[in-house]
Amino acid sequence: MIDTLNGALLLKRNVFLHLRESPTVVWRGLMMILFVGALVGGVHGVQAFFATLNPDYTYNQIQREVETIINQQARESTLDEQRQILGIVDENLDPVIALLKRIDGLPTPLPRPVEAVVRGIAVFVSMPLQYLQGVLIAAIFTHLAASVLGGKGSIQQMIGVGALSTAPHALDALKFVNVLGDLIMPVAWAWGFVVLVVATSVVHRLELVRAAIATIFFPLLLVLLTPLFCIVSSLVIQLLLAMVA
Amino acid sequence: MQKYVALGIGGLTLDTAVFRQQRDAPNALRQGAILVALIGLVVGVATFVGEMGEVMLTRDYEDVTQTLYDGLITMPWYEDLATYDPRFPENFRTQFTTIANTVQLFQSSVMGGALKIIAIPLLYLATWFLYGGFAHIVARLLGGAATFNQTLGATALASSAHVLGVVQLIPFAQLSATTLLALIASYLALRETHNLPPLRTLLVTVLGVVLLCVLLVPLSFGVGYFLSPYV
Repeated sequence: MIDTLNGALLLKRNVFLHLRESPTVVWRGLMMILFVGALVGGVHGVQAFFATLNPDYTYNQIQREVETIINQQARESTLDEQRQILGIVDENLDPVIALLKRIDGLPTPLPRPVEAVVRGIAVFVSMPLQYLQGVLIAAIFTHLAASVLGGKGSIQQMIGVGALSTAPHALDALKFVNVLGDLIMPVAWAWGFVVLVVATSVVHRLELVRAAIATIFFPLLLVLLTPLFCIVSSLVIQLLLAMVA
Repeated sequence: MQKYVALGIGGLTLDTAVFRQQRDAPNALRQGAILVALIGLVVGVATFVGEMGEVMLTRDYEDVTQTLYDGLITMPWYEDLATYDPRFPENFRTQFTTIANTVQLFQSSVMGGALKIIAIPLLYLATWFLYGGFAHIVARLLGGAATFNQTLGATALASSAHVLGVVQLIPFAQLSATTLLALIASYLALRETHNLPPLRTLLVTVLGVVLLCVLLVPLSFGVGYFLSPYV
């Protein structure tokens, strides 16, 4: 498992090829997702455990983050209405945080340490499934695009080898480190994308450029279609409102 | 039992050989039904245990809504609106009660959890049977060659994805990826049984889901509405 993880991170083509030809390609892919998910989930689970034990720290952190956003927006706002809304949010922030703390402080049948342990375990077991979901979405759409571009691989190979793209997400375990956290996310994402391109190229016997096009095709389509969808739906709403009026 | 564990693992890991084996089994339909019911039972029991845990770790709903209401009506925005519109407090109370009652329907409860031990296997069986039936009709219309038993027997393996639902044994655990995995397994099952080209198989897989949603969404709302006073 560690060798496969290293091979995926270093984009060693023979590791991808070896996995593609394995009769248990899906199983091995699932194991990779489980490994990375358990690693990240373990760290986040411990974090959830302490956050549940010490809710005040979490709420104070939320308050500080919202205050930073309000101050930032207030500096950049040009409209009176915008400043007015920010004023309302600012005025109500303290009571909202106090209310959340009050609700969190209500008693439960089992004591808080038990809740903390259970919430930690819940995060731990949920994380691999979240990664699996991401891999399946990426694998399905990339497989469709790659097949149109002349790819020859099977969906099982795409899922199994595509699962290697979760390897860089082992970095997500460090997300809790304040400054490092913001930096890690894009690095893990970009590295995972490159691994997925190589996986697509190996699975579908495509050149890297074609594999990159197959990987990016549907996300790009989504990005391009979203504004169009917004424009069309706003036109439809305006039309309906005009008809009602 | 060992046979069903092997079938479940084969379905979960999208093993084409297991799909073919299931297609060619003389009692594919019966094996499929038992597999789906077993998975439903395992997930149902896990969900029940998880929900019991959630009940023990969740704040009393009445206390939460009362604290929330008391907190909201002392906030500056509420006071501003109440000054501006004298009818606002009454309207707010009505809206708040309606929303709180609706949310209550989705809260974990002992009765609701116990019901799921029976409801989940039944739901899985009904979904498998209806989806398999719809997919079979569409596949045959598009030139598919398999019998009804073969289609149902193979699509039963897609239910193996739901076994991931055992994570619900842990209270507050988030379940994801099962629907997508089940869809991929259904695609493979239909491809292996009907020998259709990839694009047609994809069409059959998707149309099966669309027809199932058209039937199940209104039905589930109706059943939910009917059962809500008892749960």
